[in-house]
Amino acid sequence: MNSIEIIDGKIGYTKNEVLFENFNLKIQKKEFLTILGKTGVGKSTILRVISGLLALQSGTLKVSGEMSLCFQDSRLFPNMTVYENIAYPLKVKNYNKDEIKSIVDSLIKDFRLENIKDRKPNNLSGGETKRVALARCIATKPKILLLDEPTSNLDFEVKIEVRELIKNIHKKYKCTTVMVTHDIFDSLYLSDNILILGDKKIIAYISNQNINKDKNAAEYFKPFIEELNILKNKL
Amino acid sequence: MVTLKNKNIIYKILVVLVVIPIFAIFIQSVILRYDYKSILPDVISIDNFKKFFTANYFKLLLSSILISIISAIITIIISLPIANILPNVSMNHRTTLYVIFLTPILVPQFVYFYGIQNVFAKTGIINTHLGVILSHVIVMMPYAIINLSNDIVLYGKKYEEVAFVMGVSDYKLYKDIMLPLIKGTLINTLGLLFIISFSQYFITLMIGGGVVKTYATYIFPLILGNDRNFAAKATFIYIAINIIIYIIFVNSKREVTDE
Repeated sequence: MNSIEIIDGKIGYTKNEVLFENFNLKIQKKEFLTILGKTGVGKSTILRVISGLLALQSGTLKVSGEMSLCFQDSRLFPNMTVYENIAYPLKVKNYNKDEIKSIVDSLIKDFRLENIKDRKPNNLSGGETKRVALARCIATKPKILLLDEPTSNLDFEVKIEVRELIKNIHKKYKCTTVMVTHDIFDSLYLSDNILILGDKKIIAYISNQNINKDKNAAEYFKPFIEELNILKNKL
Repeated sequence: MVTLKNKNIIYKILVVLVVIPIFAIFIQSVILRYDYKSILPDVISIDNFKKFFTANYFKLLLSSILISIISAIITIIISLPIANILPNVSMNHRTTLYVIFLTPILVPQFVYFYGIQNVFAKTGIINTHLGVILSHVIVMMPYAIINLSNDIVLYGKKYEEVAFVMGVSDYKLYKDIMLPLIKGTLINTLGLLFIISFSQYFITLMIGGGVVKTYATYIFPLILGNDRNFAAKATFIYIAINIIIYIIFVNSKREVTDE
């Protein structure tokens, strides 16, 4: 069964600036889809459409279940502590105090935030900020999780840590996940399917296992594989 | 770039433009006798300041402070939603809206308030406290909108999107997120507006018609009069009130932003 479906979508910010016409996308329940593509092709725009932040100019969007969006710049509320940030979506959904405490405490433990739970966001490192943002996103156990470049601007070790965290979230909460990234390794490590966007078109929509079987996908991955080989030879 | 040398020049300019005039007013206010042949004043005293500590004087001062506080609060209440529109419009529309909102300070005040005076006369609020407060609000709105919109443009769109995805209502977005984020600027703006309102002479006289008296309308004729010593005392008290109010607002801002 589909969790997210865009049918014949016309996507763009203004009538003169159309990124995609007749855009079709079906994402199955519990699927992990990664959207890849060069800067400016409209990867994040697709997330904005799915989350409702940007309306389709024409076409249909079907979304089943509550969703949560983790923004690229995290957007934690600067006036709230880590604990309050994670508790806030639960407060908005009118959870009672005991429920909020139990859920937030458990997330703080799972995401190893015990030492920073009373800190304000401007006193957190990049990795800590991402962990808090992810914890806030899944506090209400959404059916759909949208991630906008969750591992960008992070050190290598932190990137691997956040990547692992995303994998565990998907495994534990079994939510349909759509992740926009530039990172080929993130996409290969985490996703079931990969959507590669080009200029105003879909280059490929393939299963993670079959990237070599699709000519366009193989072409897209070629420079990265060549670079890996260079690295491998040097090591 | 502000270098140490530039800083010294800036301090010197500030001393010449701000400190020296205030000091001169203070000196003028405490001199009781200063013969033309003397190098230093002959008699200096602060006793004459007692003249100001009368019931009528306090009443005038209190009324002025109240008018300024009420005007500043009303201005903030009206300007906040207007400033909130700005992040949600395109850059071109934003410029147009700025020009519209800034009209009261772009057009010469006496021309603008000639029209306002006519409207207020027709609605019967001329020569009333309400009329004076509303006229102050009109003058101060551009300053409030400019001050508040900077913060709202910075935070507004960003957190509105988070709130939208989370399903937060507009009311909660403002109560829980936006107001705590901009409270420092709000207090700053309140302080600025108080000082602007407190120093309004021309508009208060034009709309208040001499019936509504404020401290500014009280000291202006004194400044133009012959008793320089008395005018200096009144002016010095006026400056002192503004500085005290400013310090109160700066401290309040520090307290709320350090929480």
